[in-house]
Amino acid sequence: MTVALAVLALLALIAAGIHVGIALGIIAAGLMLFSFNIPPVLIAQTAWGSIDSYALVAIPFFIFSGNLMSQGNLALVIMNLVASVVRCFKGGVALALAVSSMFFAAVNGSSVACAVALGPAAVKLLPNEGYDARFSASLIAVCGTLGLMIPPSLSFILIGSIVGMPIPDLFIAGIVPGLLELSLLALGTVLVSRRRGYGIVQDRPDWAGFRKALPSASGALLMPVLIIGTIYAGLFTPTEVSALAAIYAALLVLVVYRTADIFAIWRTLRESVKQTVMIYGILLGSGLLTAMLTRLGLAAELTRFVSEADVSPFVFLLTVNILLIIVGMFLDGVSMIVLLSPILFPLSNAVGINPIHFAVIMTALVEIATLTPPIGLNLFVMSKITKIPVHEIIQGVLPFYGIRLFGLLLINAVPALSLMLL
Amino acid sequence: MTGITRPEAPAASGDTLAHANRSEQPSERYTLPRPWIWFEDKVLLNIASLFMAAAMGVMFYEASSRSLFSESHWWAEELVRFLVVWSVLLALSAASRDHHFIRMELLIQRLPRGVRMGLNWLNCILGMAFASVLVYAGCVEVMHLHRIGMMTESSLDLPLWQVRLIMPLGGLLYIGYFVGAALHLLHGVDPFETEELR
Amino acid sequence: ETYEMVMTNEIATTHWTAQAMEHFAGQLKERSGGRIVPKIYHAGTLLKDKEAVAALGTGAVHMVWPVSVQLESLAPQYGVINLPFMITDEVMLKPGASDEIAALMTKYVEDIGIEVLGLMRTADLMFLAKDKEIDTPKDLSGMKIRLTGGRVLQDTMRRFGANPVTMPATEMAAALMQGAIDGIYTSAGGWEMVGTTAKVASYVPGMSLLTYSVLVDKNWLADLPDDLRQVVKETTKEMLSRQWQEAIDSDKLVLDKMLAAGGRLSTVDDASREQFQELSKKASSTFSDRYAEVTQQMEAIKAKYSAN
Ligand code: NA
Ligand code: NA
Repeated sequence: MTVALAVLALLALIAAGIHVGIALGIIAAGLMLFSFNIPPVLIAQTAWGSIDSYALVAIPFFIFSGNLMSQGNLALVIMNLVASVVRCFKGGVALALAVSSMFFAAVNGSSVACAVALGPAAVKLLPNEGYDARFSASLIAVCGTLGLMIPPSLSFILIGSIVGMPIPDLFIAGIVPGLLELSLLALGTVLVSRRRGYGIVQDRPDWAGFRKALPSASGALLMPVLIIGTIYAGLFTPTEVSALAAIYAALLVLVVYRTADIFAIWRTLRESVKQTVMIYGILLGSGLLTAMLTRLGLAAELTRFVSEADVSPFVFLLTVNILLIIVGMFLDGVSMIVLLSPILFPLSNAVGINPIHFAVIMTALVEIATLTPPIGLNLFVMSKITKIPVHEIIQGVLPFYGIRLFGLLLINAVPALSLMLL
Repeated sequence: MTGITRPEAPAASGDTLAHANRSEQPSERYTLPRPWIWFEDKVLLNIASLFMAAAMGVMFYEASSRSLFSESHWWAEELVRFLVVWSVLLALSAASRDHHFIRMELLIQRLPRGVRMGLNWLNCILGMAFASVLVYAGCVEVMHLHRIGMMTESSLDLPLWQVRLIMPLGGLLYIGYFVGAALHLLHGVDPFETEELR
Repeated sequence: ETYEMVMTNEIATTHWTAQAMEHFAGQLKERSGGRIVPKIYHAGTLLKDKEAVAALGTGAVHMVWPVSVQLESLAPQYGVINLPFMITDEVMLKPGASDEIAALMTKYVEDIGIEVLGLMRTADLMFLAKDKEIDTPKDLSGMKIRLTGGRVLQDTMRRFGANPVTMPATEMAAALMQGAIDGIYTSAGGWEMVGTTAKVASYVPGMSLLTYSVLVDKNWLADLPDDLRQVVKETTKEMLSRQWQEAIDSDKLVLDKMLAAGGRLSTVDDASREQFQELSKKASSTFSDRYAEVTQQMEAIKAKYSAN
């Protein structure tokens, strides 16, 4: 009863526009202080524990490197390179964008960072090539989400550190589903472009242009090699590689491309700290609420209920998918993972679903959540960058929802996609 | 899923000063006293950024030192973690002042201004209450840790109460943020309004 | 009147320690006629052990069984039971030894509101490597060894010529596979976690026997009615008397499983073991010089129970 009231109050506060972190925290603190007579030290300890984690440190560092890359216009450099070859067929440049997004996904931990890095360049490039600006913006919003599935990934880092699973395994698990999503996306892009007659066509690949663009792109192209290489050579751990990414990106824009000076980098760092605060604020509030739910024994109760009810994996997954698509409309990815994974993972275990497979499913759902209105961060970001109203971007994203849902279905139904490389 | 970058957003609340004369609404003329903004935006945020840069440097140094010179430093992990938490809690007020928070605007966007302002007051009050809980719980914790004399785990050799001091301190700064927001509200300015609303 | 008893741990619910805690809580509930209401929070869902130790005495938690190393940041003297070659199965299996050590350790934490009810056996540690066998301290020279544990253990590893590395347990398997580290100093359970990426385990008998400390909020215990306090103390004592041998057996079971899976165990010979002991004495001496009193008392208890 108390729990039901608390959840209702939480939803009401969030709907009323109260800062989500505050809403989570005040409900937790209220329950802890008044309803259950829990000592203040527990509040201080759990609040601290929710943000004091080595794995979480990757969040600010990846944000910083993503912001640096968007500042360095690295996306334009890479997209020009790919476009010079694929411009020879209809929809080619949009395809180049999708392919470039894989590059950014492979150096970035977050979907928004990907969208931010790609956005300005794509908006410059695509309309000149005969693409609808609205379509371009939507495409980037969608492509950006790949940053969560293709390693390194903040989603997997969060899940791994909250649930206690090896983060490298989760990264590896994301590779095939990420490539699958990319292929589906590329296919959809080409189909939509052809049907709507977007894009100019040239006779054959412009290899001269490619050779001209290659040297300037090599510094940026080296980055995913460096990041993935150092992890697999065993030099850096997946957490530590975030620091490498940040420092390399800073050197790239400072020394190689000279698109920023030291002051610009400092401004970017300040901005990144502010964005980090936004995420940590949510982590703090939901850490408290999760501890409260645990102290109440709710999570344990739920697990017992599900395991005794003998729910089949199919019914469980169906429920979770529908639930998270709905929840994902209103919550952002970080809140979703932080709030729900402590409850859902024990349940999925009880039902007999492989936890790594479940982590991939959850990440796929978070990707969708960043695209679904009313709260879809990628939609907001693209609207900001392109100055196109959010509702028009949502319209542009519409054809891609179907593709996304189909990918989600495959990821749910075929555990091997997630587990084959392990 | 991470933060929204606002390429065209004003760098800090200090910039609202520049807009003040152009503004049509009388309410937008109100800004917080300059030293307040200066303290949050220049002092706190720069220190926080310094801590974040230091954390990045230490992590990179530890990883390189271990992989290249086989030399691992026990204190590195703790130091990185503490620097990041300090950075975040120090920047809590400055970031919030610059609209770096997550909230759902869909509903209140459609409400009449009066109701919206009422909810903003509620936001302020709840924010202050939550921040006060952090201050109170943080103080109790710091005093307890001081009494039992617990040290950090590694060779960092810091008393834990000093490390945890940032919790009540950050809470205090956060209260400051909401006091500022309340001052805006008193002058009829919506402090939580972001670009989407305009 | 009922008394809520909050217990926490940070290990998976499937781990034997978690199950032991469940069993213990069940007994407390039964023997107190339901007047003690134990609530267990597993797997760090409420508090990590380190936080729980810090929170003992605040009412947030009443009992916790942390790895003894974690007490060192609270009372450096506690490090005595983590010294290499200090705690042995031989001594700990003698009735009374555990009680005396617990009483000794309580002296250093009681003024901050903690009582040590006893020690539990966590695990015997061994070196894991991909395929290198450790026969003498020389073999460790230049190896990057991942370990957890206090400063004495770190110092000991340096005396062997190894480079101690700290990293989260979740990352150590991948790190060993890719060569970020050359070895891991861990338990049979740790070997199970890493899998046969580590093909060889090398064992120096008696070098590092990890323990849990059974800690209770001293004032909470003192404020219980006399009969309930007795229930807590007696039940704990009974559990501890069985636990040491059971832990030896379950350690062996896991080890056998790893050997069956293709792992190889190499135990160093006596001469080499002496070399390890000699080198580790130098590391221990920085501790025993500084905390002479507790070291002497500990040695005295050890001598008393080794003798008979
Ligand atoms: Na990524
Ligand atoms: Na959404």
